[in-house]
Amino acid sequence: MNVVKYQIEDNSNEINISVNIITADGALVTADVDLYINDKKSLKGESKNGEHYIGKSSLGIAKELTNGLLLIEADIDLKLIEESFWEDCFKNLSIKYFLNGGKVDKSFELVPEDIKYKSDLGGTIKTKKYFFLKQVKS
Amino acid sequence: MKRIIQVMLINLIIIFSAKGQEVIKLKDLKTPNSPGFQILDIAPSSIERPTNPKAFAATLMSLTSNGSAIPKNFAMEFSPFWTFKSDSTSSIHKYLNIRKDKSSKNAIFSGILRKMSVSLVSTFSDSTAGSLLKNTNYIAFGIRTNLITIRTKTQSDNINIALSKYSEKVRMLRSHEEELDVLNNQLRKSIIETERLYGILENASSDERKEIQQDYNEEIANQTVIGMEIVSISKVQPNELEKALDTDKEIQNYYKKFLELPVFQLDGAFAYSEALSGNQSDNKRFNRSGFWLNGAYNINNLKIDDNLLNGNFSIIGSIRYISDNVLEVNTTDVFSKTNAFDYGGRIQYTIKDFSISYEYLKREYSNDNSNLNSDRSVGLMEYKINDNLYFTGTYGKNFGEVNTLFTLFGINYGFGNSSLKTD
Repeated sequence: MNVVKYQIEDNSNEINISVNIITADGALVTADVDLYINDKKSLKGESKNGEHYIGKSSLGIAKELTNGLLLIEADIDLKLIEESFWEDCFKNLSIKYFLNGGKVDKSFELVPEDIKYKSDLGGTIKTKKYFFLKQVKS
Repeated sequence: MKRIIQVMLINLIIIFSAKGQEVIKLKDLKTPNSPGFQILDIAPSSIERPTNPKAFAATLMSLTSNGSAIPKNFAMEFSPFWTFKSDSTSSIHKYLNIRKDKSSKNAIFSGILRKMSVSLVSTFSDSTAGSLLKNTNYIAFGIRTNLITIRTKTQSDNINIALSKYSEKVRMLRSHEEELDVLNNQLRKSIIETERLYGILENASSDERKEIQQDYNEEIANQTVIGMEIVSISKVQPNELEKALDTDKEIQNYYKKFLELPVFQLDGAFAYSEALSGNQSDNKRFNRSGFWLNGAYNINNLKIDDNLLNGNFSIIGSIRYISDNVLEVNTTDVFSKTNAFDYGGRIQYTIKDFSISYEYLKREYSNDNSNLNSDRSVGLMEYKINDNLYFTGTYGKNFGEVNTLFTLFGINYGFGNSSLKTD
């Protein structure tokens, strides 16, 4: 399983994330950003009203996020779309993640090593992308 | 222009003949109402209610080419924007033509390219009927797209409320949440430990190294096991969510709300066709091209009472400009170009899986050919018995003077993924 390390510094920079899910217009997307830290889970961002993005969401201050695990989970429901689309939707699904406030601002994509599965019929897709917030020296 | 279209036609036939020979699921087969058929006057309906596009609508009739290079009797329709990968931002609000929030406007123009579909048709006529001549293969290329979709403010607001509730419900229906929270916390701790051990390992002396390396390897193995458990649960989650969505009454009501027809839709289409007498490329000639607009006014939930005839009603108007190549009187192979104008309408009532409609189109040729004026008047019905079984029927009078009785009845049926002939 793929966990990407995003480098943050021991400072007061605000760390932000935004997510863009690129699929067929008719897909209903439910996506969340969860932060696991100190044995707790907190919701940091979510897609609203079936939309295909999570707007810029603050994760907190860099020095308080050290060793946090970030999970971006998306459920994609294709029920409004013709079934003949479903296979192409799974194949062509593209998710872009943008993290900023750390050592460098950086874009990431959903890659084959990440979690991406569909139902047997193909009408529902689940994706998961993990980031580990690793503290590095300035 | 003509040359470009000819090259496109040939290339599309070659590319999609291969695609078309893949196994087609029977539930993807529906009646061929693509512009390619409509320009030849052989579609069950000449005036279709605007819809969102299909990806590869395998309106496949028959791919038998009888040994010739030009296939007879096949049809396909696909959406280029979604069939090929696109990096454009996608949006459910554009798809449903609703506004994002109360301060924004409805998405009336939802993207000509996004909703465009391309069709390719070949049909062999073994007798003279309607606009088709005997022993001639007709090849047509068509495109259509949605130009305008309008929803009322109330419709838009209600769909937005349903979308918001839908998202909340999906989050509630997610399975294995607590189990995954435990695993994600374990994964985080394991990563912290491997990071710590790796840091020590880098600065360790060769004596210390062996023991730390072993601890590091064990932690990596532990992390792999946790990862495998997360993957294993993640694999079953889509099936579990799909089952939950399919059986949840609230979700089913939200789907109905999303699928409500807009109050007005306007589609545009263009089609170009050529005729090959005897299916010989040497006998190729321009047959007909046309541009048309279909505008639909829809009424949702038109009912007598809550339990009786609660369905959707549509009134669709159509205008079409045609450039035609007609057979001259008292000749068998002399054609002359002329223009025609079609206008008419269709009324359609859809209740659950049953749809009944009537359409009328008047065709008027330019002054010199007014003797060719005719009309088309047909009734149509379609009943979806289940995903694998459709009953469709069209009956009435087609354009033209010869053999104008137009009947097209068919049952699309089957089990599994068998291929099907619908002609």
